[in-house]
Amino acid sequence: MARRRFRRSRSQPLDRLAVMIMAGLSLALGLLILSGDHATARVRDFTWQDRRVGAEDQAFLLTFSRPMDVASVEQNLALDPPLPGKVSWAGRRMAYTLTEPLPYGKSFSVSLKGARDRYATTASSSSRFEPFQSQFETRPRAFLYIGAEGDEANRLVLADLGSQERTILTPKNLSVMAFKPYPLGDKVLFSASDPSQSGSLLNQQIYTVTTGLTPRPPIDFAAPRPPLWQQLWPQKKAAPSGETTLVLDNSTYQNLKFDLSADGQTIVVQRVNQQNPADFGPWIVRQGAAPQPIETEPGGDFLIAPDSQSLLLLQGQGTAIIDLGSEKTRGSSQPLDFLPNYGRVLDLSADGSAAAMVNFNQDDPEKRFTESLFLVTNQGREEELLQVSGAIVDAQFDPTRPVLYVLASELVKAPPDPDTLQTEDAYAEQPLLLAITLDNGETSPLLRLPQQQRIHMSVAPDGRSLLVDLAGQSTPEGETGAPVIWHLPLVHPAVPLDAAASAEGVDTIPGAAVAKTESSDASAAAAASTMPTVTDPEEFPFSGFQATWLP
Amino acid sequence: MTQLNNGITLFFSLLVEAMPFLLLGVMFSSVLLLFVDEQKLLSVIPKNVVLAALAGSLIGFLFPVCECGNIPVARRLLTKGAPTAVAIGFLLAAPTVNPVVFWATWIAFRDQPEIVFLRVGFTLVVAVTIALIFSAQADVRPFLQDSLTRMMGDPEPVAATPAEAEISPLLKSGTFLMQSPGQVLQLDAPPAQVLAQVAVAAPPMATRLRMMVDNMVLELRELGAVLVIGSAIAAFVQVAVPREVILSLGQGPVTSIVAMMALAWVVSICSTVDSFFALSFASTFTSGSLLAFLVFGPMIDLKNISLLLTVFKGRAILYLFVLAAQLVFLLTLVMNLYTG
Repeated sequence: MARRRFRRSRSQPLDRLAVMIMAGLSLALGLLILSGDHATARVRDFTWQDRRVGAEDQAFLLTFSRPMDVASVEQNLALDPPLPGKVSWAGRRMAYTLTEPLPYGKSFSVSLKGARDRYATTASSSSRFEPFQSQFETRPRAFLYIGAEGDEANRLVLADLGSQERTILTPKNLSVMAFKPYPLGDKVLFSASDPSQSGSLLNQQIYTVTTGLTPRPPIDFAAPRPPLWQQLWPQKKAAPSGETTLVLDNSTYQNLKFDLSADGQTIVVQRVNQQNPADFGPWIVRQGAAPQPIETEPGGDFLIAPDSQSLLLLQGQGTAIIDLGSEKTRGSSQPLDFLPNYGRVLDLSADGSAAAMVNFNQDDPEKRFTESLFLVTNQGREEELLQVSGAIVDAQFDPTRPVLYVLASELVKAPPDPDTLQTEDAYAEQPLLLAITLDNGETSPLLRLPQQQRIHMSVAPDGRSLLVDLAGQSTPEGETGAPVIWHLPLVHPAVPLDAAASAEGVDTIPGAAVAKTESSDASAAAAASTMPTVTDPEEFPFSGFQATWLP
Repeated sequence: MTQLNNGITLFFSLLVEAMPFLLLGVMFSSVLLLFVDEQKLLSVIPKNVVLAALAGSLIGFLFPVCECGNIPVARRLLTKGAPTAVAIGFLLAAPTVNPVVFWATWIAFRDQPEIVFLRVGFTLVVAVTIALIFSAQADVRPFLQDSLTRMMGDPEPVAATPAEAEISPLLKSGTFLMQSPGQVLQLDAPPAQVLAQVAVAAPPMATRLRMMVDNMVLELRELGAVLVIGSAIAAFVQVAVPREVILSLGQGPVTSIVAMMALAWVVSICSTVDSFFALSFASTFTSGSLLAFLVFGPMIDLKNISLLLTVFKGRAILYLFVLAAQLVFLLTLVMNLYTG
């Protein structure tokens, strides 16, 4: 009944209203489309905006509010001072991947004016882009050392090459033995003893101290974002320099040696029980957790791999690789891998793909009294880079280029010394500073260093200089002088034009390493000329040892 | 052969994705039927039409269902005598304005938080506007399917006009029980629904639960069958008109919206996961078009038109569809052309 009635009256109020509104909306839509595009394209996001970047940052991202005309952006993007790089696009996002390592201690400005969005190219309206201007800076060129003289004696000192200032970080009552900076340079982990206590040398405790530098790392677009409230929270001010915090005490165990992981989250400490010297081995210390012993065979020297997940520990005659990541799988103390030939690991490349290891050549009678430096890659390739008659003291990878810097010594005939008794064939070790290009294994000596045992080297994070510190020269009166720190600026030959051009054509994903073509002749030619040279070594007017660049 | 395979894959994926939500919706609908007293429900709903529409749009926070699950609930709201504004508001907004979808959108678009909030805001604007338009019709029954109007009973007394009183309520097909003059009970209606019409009966809990399950099975069989047909149509269209064709409509400020709305309509993806689907277009399409996809898709798509047909007549669905499309287009176009 009711149905029939509804059928009869065709036009209901809803029909009339709906048709009217639909017509009105169509009209409004038509007018809106005809009125044209009034939007202004702009840069929504710049990952390095007002940030402090370091060598580990290789690319920045610009996110635009709408799809852009690629050519107009690439032509108009200006960096001052200029930084060569490659541009790649993913929709509204542009990645600028640097082809040269960033120099430290500089500030850069980024500007983009007069770019066009993709829809404006056909339309006549041209200036619909909000000019973009921003800046970023690189971390300061600064290094740490343990002072040797006066107020600085046995204290950790921060020397900033930019501002030419030195700051003493640690308190007077602590005698610093070793240290390692945190990845952003805002803190330093150090071991120190209190000289006023008895047996002080064996009573190291482990502390952190703030450097007073503000870490403002760029936004990591790949990492999970912090919760909203954290993004809105005002940025914490950097702690003033010199705030010391105890990390690990020595009440039950002596702390012998430590290493800090590359992500700054994990500390591994070699400890020995004060009462029971058999209770000896590496311990792991993590933020917010009690220190725990790593259940493995006791070992010697160790190093945390750059992935912060594994430990390279000298065990017996070789090097064991121990997993640090999975805490839960306790009990199984099996190492992940064991490299029987290498008695020492000197350094790992920043991406963890290669290690510089020493083979003491004990298995080969002919090489018995030599040491060899090997490059061992994670692909299983083992390549001998260097064999010396003396010792391989240290090797460090250049963080930005395929170059390895090596401190090694060769046996030389000792010069006759009239004051002491000498056999006819007395030998002395002549230390050398060498650079090895990893692309072709070519070795070139950089410097011949004074004949002494204790030499320490540090490669700058931007690969543009070295620090070498030497024990003081003994004076004729028999006193040893204060230790000396040398600054060795490195000159890297420019990449040949053809190699640079071929690299520019390659589109890489953001964050990927600088393009390294492996087998082409052009790159081989380029590699041959990538050998760095030292220019104008400079001695600092202060003295100290263990000079180490901040990352 | 590949097209057949693709079609079958699409068909089953749509079905598998939608069925749990349909089940959830049917469950909520049955709970509403047997456990919620209409008098109480009506007393809670605001009298003001705008507020009623807004309240309906926000019910989604209580019933987190996607666009297939909300239809049984909206249908139940209508038969329970809720104002049209509430039912329409719920129908259009609930798939988007609910905690699950909000969270999923937040996860997908964390670096463009405005998308998350504008999605909710635009949905509310569109849902409330359409609900207001529909509430211009005091008696919405001419726009509902006959089976539904029969279940609704008469809100206004039938005897208002003497001419109607002469026609017996028995002039309908089916088996009826004469209770008293003018009061007729349809016996071949599902038992739970018969029961719901007999206000005096308040059976014990166990009986009510059993009847709830019965009603769930009944509704699921009815709507499930319709969903299968809807998914089959959506799968067929997607095979016949590949996504590339739709996307090639363009990426300009206007054409991108058209493309993304067409895509949303055709792919019929569930609102709980569509933000991840949209994310793959985030870098190449304008923000306005992404929003059009995220707002329009959950309201009306190819798959749920068949489900809507169990509630509304074609004319009403056409109004819903065109009005929703136009409003979404208008809002996102303003966004694209004026804010970039």
